[in-house]
Amino acid sequence: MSIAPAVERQTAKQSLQKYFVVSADCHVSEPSDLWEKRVPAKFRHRIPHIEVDDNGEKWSIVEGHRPVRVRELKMEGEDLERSKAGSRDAEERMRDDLRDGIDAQVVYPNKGLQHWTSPDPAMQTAVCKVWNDWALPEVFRGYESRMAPSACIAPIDVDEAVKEVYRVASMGYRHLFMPVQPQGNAPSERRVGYNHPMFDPLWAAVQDVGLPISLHVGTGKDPRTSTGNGGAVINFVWNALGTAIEPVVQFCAAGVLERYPELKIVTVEAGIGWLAWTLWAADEGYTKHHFAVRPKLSMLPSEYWKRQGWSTFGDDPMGIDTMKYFGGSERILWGNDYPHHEGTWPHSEPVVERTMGHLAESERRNILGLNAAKLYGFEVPAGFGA
Amino acid sequence: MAVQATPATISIDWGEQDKPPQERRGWLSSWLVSLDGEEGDFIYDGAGGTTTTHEVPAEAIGIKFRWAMRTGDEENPFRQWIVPKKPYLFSDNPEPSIRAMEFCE
Repeated sequence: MSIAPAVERQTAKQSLQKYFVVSADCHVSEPSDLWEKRVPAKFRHRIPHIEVDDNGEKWSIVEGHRPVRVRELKMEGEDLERSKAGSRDAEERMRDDLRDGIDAQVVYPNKGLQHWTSPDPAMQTAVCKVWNDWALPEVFRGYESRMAPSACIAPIDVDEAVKEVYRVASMGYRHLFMPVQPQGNAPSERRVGYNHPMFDPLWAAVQDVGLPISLHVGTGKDPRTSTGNGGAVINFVWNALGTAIEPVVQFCAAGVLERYPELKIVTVEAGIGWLAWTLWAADEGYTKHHFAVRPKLSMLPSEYWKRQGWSTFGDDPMGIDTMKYFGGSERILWGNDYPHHEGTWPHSEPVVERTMGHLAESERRNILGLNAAKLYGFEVPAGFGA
Repeated sequence: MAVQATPATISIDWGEQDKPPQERRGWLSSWLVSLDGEEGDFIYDGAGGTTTTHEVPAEAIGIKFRWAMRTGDEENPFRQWIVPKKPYLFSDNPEPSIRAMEFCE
């Protein structure tokens, strides 16, 4: 992995001054016509768009998702500012970082979070390649010391995914974004999970290039499947954040992390409060259902996550309080989710104080930046290390 | 006189000549080549205020109109792309001269 040169310290936030701060979950706004102009013509009509029906009603059409009626949202004040932020001008992004006390960013797509909605592997592969050919080469090249964009991989076509893993690694990408569920919108009889052995060649390739895999929530399965009373909350808790539970258990219990001990998995934007219970339950299942368990593992499922798993969060006090159960401060990464509305930008400092103020200095250093620096290849400036 | 289903050439008025370019909607329209929506080459990528004339390719069965409204934001000037649910087919619209806005309100 290439190691980026040291960054010039620009942090303006007083209480964050003493840390090297990496936001492990940021997003960039793609040009509105990125996929329309670059995807092969045979896929163009299938990328997300708005459709006007005979009554003049507008519908958001996303392959693999149910159509959703478009509502015009009026943004004001800071909401409006957030909706316009997430620039693809790296200098402007750094100015936004400065306001929030951030030194470096791990960058994910914005519209590109929909790369994996289609159950068609060829479609997933085509749109991911458009992003990969754009993000690092055209936006972040030259700013690698401050920003590490993800490469997007469509895992369901394993042969193509393996080729793309090697291609993007050679381009200089430093992490691989895969969906939380590889084919969550396919009919149930066609769905496969990351526990399926068909993915083994992909894990071998990823281990070979040495890049971490990021599983950002809201991907691979429609996060808006619940409707009616409580739908918005149900979708946030269960159909978005809760979806990270399944791949964590799959990687641990199916022996993937045992067979590929150098594989590194990061759950992104799922929070961390669920990890203690999930890993405890995985161990309970492994132990108490020993008669049904396969494969037999050399360690408990939780121990693989404590060795090879990480998770990002923004504001999750319950996760902080229980982190000793899933590996402690070395397993979690803080992120401000810039510029999304559910994130903490540009007011991260009080959130960090409120949720991590009671932690030891070494723990805060790990969570706020050193873990991310090690995972994503940011060079830590002198005096800000462990 | 019988009108051919597919015109040899087509002129498309992209409308909004009365507005300054920075206020016109954006167009990103292409040939429609199959009834399932598959597209061919782009016809017009621009901000309207003009009429363009094109030879119709043999494989084209219609036009995929695609437009986007302005946001007022320089970096992201257009909202999400919009298409009409009902496709524009030459078999339904054989005229060699059309106004795009009529099909894209």
